[in-house]
Amino acid sequence: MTSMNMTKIVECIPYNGLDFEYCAVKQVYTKKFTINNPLNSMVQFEVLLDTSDNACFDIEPRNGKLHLTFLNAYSDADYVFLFSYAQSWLQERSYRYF
Amino acid sequence: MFFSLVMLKAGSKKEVTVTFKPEEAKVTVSTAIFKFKEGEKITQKVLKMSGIGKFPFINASDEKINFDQLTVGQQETKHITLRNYSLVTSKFEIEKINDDGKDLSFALSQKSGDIAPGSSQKITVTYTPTQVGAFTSTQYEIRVVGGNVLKLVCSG
Repeated sequence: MTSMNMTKIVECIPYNGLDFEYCAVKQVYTKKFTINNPLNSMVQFEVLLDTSDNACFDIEPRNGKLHLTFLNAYSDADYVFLFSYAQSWLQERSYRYF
Repeated sequence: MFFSLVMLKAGSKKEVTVTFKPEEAKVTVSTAIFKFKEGEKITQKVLKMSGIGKFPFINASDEKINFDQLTVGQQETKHITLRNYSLVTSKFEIEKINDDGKDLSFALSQKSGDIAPGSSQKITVTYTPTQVGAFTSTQYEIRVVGGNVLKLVCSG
């Protein structure tokens, strides 16, 4: 069953779909929308795109942007810890070698 | 089916870009399934996408422009009008096709542009002869991206 919060995320997807209307052959047209995550926890989303029709449509973001996923996996507290750890390591290195 | 995966941090936003590039003049309807996971909870939403591919088509008012005789040092201009008869915006590019790079007698006001459906664009051709007694003929190709190709011959 879909929770109220998950419903809010789903509502970010255009209800009536996306109609590009008349488009010139061989030219690229784009439409954008934003997905908001109102939850207090991380949400993973996957896109399954029907590519049977000569791949006329494409959706970004797509895989290959793993660094974004990796960065998003850290909280602000994690960044503070990593930064202080790196700083202390650099300090120790400078004492040892210089 | 194509599969992609993205993580949304708590409270974050992600802009999704959908692109459509028709390869043929036809109606295309497709779907994408958005699957959201929050822990064990899974929700799905289908996004319907549609578009109509159309061939762009531009027509030129003239295929040949003749400036006749003109004194060296003088300048003369003539115009051609490109009209877009199609239902889509047409992108065009103009390229000189028979030029050795030495003769710069002809100049066009623009080499590329977009013309909205049913609209027209005026291109100015300027003739500035540089050699006495020389007949100059330059051919241009007007290419419509994904559409037709026109020829323009300028002489003087």
